[in-house]
Amino acid sequence: MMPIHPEAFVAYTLAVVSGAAFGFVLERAGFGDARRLAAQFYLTDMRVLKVMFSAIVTAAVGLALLRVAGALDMDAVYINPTFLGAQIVGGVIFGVGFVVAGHCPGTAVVSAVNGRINGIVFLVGAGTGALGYAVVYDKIARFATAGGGRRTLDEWLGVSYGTATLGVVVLAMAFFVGAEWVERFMARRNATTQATSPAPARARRFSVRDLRPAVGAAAIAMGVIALAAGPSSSAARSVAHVPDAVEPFAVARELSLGSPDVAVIALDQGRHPLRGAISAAQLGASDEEIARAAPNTRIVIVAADAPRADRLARRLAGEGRDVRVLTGGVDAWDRAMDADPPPPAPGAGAVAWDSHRANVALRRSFGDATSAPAAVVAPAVLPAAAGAAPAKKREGC
Amino acid sequence: MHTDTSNRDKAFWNPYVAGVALGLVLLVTYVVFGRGLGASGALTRFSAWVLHGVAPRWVESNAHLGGYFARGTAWWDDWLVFELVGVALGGLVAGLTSGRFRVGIDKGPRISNRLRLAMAFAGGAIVGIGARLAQGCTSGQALSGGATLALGSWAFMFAVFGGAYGVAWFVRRLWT
Repeated sequence: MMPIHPEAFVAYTLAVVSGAAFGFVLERAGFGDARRLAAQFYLTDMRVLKVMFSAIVTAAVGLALLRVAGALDMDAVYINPTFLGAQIVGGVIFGVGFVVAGHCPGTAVVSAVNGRINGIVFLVGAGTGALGYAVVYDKIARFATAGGGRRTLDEWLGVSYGTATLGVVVLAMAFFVGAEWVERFMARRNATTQATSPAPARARRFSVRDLRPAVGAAAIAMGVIALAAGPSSSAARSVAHVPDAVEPFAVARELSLGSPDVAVIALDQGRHPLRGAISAAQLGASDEEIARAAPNTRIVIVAADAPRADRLARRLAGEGRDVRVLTGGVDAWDRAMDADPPPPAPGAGAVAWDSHRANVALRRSFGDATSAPAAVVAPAVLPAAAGAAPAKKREGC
Repeated sequence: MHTDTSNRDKAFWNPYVAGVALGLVLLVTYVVFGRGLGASGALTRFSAWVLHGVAPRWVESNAHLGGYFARGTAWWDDWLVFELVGVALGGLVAGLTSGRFRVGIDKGPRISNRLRLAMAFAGGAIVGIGARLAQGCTSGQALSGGATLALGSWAFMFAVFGGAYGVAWFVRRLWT
């Protein structure tokens, strides 16, 4: 069943190929030109919206189809975790920079390699901004990682996956019709206000033919979705399989108690600062091997690589194991164990203080672990092929 | 800067066709790799590597960047880095074959080159911060997350449009 998840070398070679196709299409879409992108926000060329939503609809419908056909295991597909606050604030900030610069990171690469100095300068700026973010990261980490989890539109709306996909298609169609109308309106307005300048090519009357590709895509989508809307049980099943998250201090408590029925499995080769954790490499190289060898107890998975942790957790949960995933991975653990947690608010009850004192004690017993030897179990050596793909921090973009 | 706008227009694909093509590329990456496309993550790794050359200790101990340089890993050892190299190659081939490769500055008709580049840098820095906070950009969040119906990615996408439309009027001198 797909996804295929090829070996590291193959994956990286194909990554270049996929990226090349992505870059080629971006250029042909006109996104190498900052003015085309900025025009979206002055309503004269709605290209960004049209390309973006055509792409989303195509991919979303394709995913829904493959899922219904049983060819694609959506549980094994990485879905960006939702951090609503950070994503809304980050999105607004991003949008401001987008219109000021006329670029976003991917399109700026296309602009830069095609000789545009503004594209190169933008990339230097974006790199600087990312490093600036790293400087203040400690102060905002709590906000940036609040409420992380795998949440999707269908779950949020309480409808089946197929219905949510259909909703996306309908929304996109409405946007397309609106975009065509707005472009026509702006072209006519500009033609009358600047009667001396030659009328732009876009000023021609809007015809139904302009919408043909969109209508075609919509027709295909509708047929497909009618199919997809049926078996909503697979959606329900995947929701039931979402593994629970667990906080760093809860993990520390389990580890300090030394409960024999709890196993912490660290996926990160070379970076597993949790004393008492089992290195996944000890159990096997592939998810299959790890799942087979994992102790039959309550399992906590720790990894910086969120998709991998998610995948393994789902596999184990699918086999009926009691699995939880450490929220925020190794980073969250490091942060929690780096300094004493803040004391409870004034007027907090005895329970809050008890738990605070317990957490401080745990923090002090685990806090030095970052520099301590990795795991109690000697990490096994991975085969070279698998060693090229250690679990890593995931950027999302 | 350009006079033959109509000729340039012809070489662009119909946006709906380009969108479907982009969607198919995205679908293939989901089917083969179980993940979507991206850009800002690789850019962050590259910047971290540059800074690592200057201040290795600081980068290694930073909570946000340290993981790239942990023992047993390499900053470039990530699918996204290779994918972004591909974006550069594919974008270059497309630019060369369409005759749009040209050393110069894309800008609005009313601003100087210097102001345009200053704004490209400033806007870039703002985008860099926003993308880190949102854990992705228009590619990794809006496009890829949008296709998998990720709730946060949709929130991000509408926030991007909101932020951009919100300030577009104030910076109109840059573009119109």
